[in-house]
Amino acid sequence: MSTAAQEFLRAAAIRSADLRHRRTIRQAIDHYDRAIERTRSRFDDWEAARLRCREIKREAVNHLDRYLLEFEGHVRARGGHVFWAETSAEARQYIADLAARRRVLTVVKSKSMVTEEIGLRPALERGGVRVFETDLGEFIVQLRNEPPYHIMTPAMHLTRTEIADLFREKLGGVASDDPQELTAVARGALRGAFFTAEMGVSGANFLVADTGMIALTTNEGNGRLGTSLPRIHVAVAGIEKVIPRIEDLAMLWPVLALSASGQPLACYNTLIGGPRGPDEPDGPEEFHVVLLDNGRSELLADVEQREVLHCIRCGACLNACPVFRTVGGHAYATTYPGPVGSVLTPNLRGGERFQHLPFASSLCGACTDVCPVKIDLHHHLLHNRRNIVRSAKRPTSERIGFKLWRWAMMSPERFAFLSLLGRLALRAIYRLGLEGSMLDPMRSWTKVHAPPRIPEKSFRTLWGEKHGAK
Amino acid sequence: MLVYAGVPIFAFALSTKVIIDRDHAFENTRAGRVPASARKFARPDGIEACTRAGAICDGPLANPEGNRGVKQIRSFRAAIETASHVFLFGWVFSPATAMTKIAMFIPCFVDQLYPEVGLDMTSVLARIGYDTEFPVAQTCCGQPGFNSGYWPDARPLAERFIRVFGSAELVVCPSGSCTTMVRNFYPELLAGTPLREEAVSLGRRVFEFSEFLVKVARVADVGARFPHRVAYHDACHALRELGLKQEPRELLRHVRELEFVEMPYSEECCGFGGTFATTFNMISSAMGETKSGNAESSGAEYLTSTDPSCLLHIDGVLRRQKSRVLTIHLAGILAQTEDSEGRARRLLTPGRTP
Repeated sequence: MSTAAQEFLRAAAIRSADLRHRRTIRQAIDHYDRAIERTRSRFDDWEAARLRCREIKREAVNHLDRYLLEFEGHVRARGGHVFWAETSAEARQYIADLAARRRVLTVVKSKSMVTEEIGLRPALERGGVRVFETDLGEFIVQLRNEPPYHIMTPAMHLTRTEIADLFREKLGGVASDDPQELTAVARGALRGAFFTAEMGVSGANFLVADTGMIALTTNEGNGRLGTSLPRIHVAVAGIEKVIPRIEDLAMLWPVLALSASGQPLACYNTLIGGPRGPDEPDGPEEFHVVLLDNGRSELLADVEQREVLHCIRCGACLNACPVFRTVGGHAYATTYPGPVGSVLTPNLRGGERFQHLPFASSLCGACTDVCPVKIDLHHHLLHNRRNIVRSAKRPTSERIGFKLWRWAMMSPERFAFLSLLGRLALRAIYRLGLEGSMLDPMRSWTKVHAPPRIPEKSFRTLWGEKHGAK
Repeated sequence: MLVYAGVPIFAFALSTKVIIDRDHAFENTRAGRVPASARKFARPDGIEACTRAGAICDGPLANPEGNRGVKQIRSFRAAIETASHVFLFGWVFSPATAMTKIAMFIPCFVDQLYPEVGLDMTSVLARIGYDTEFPVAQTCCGQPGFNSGYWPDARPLAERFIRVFGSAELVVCPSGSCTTMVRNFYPELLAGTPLREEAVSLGRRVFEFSEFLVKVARVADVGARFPHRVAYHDACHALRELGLKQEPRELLRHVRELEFVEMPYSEECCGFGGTFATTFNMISSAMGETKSGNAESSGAEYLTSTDPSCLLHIDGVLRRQKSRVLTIHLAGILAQTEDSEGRARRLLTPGRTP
């Protein structure tokens, strides 16, 4: 087992036992679920909307070459720059170099998971740049010096009392835990940064190919402010974010807002196509788009899992996932936690480090049920498991175990005989009260369960006795 | 009597078929070929209501009091499913096959750990007029290997299963999860092998127990009596892979003296997940605790489900927490009748009475 897997097990076990954490998350997600239920009734046919979104993304992902070039052409025509980054390092380097070249001292960032993926903030900070997260949730976790807990709701794991305490400690002068007051404190702390920053960094929820614009969705207006006040705007986006037409947003925006937070539309939906034009009063002087591959084109080559690139990062599968709700976002130690993370990460980051994640699921399918672009998430977890087993990266004991299982199950006599032995042994062990001890072959089960009642006779025996057949 | 106005697409093609076969079914009953018990426990409007209630619409099932609920075709796939079920219905009750034997698919762990579930299923099926057989050559459907990524090890077991059950006209299984394995995953597991087509066709003949009763046999009332307060846990595979939500509830609502209560978050996974429960036992048991907490807060004496594997897990967690809630498989409830009070005790986990 890799050390990452052991760390996951340890972190997951600690969080699993944390009832307060479980309550906080339940409360937050229930709040979303109620809003989602209300808002979904605005759709005549939610299933049709999901289907439509899937088709939009499918079209885009299957013609990435065409749509990305179209997007790039339009951005360049308006005086913007497009940088194609094959790896995280290339993307980081490009932005860090740009910041150094333009003597950037302060950067304001709006919420973006892809900048977490490439590790942008530490890279900029190493170059002496001060980086401010301006999304309230991100601002909070930055103050706590921890990664976002959730891709949509970075501070989901914190109660407002905890946030008030944090602000009091780090910013001072907080009287109550009233959300409005807390927001005002954060706003006060960030306002100066917005005005002094030379560079604004954002992600992009969509890249609109036919107009060459990035579509940015926020609820706090920080994205809009941070991309128009500073001299330079850098947008980072995965290549799979491209969509064919601006009309597609009519479907994708409301579906994203509903799935992410139960809103009919997010508060601020911004389209940005380039730097400030000659007749425009504001906007940045420079506009850069960094298109990130970082393993995505390998996923694109995999016909079976290509649809994972449809993901619009709404976070609905995280909220729906009972494992996520139990172990929490931090246990995964990945940029993208939850079901979509367990599908994506082993593919994007390769190697053995994250191969335990697809196995850390009960395969309940709740994620697939809520995915707005209908990614068959839990089946992809199955595919990942198969690929991992195929690549010989599982423990030998497990391999032998399944070979034995197959051998036993290929014959009803063997199956009946071996399970009879097993039942006899377990009955004896449990009668002696030895459950959970080294003698108990089921100890990983009886460690957390009362021992099962082991019947004396199997069904086949009882049936045989009743019907006289063997 | 039959009103098909609410079934827009397949009505025309199928109604003729169903009406004819329904007549056959009643002829059979008169001729004594279907035991009178089958008629006794069928709702008077059973056939009509269930034809509508099956896969096409959620109206009548969602609201048993008002059978004139909203009718709508939920998706093309549901329509296709319905078509096959309506077809099956006709076929099951047609004179030649009125006495079709049901091949019982008893999952390996039910065989070993929950033999009573198999027996209860047999007795319920017998009560509504079905003969059952147990193909003794069956072992495991291969799901543990498949789910753990060991597809090459699971494949021979799938092939074996198809050989054992290939000639069966109807297969019924007391586990939504194992039914899912055969119906939904065999075609993928056996893709590119000669048995794939057979897997698809077998998948159409394999039914989860509650699904079989409500959708195929079209019986909601099996004449059971169970004087307890019962909550239902939606087992994931039955709910999300097979689309069974109302079927088990419909059966429970028709059990005499049973008080049905909905538990909070009934659709949330209990955390079993096969090998997940041992490799990630801390997560699994925490999820089980959440589930058992919800079961307790529902005020139910019994928690039931379509999947013995979920119950095995939840029961282990409940008993470890010394909870008063007991678990029982749906078949265990449906098997109990007016005069089976004595047997009822046997089914309970020993040493504890509510």
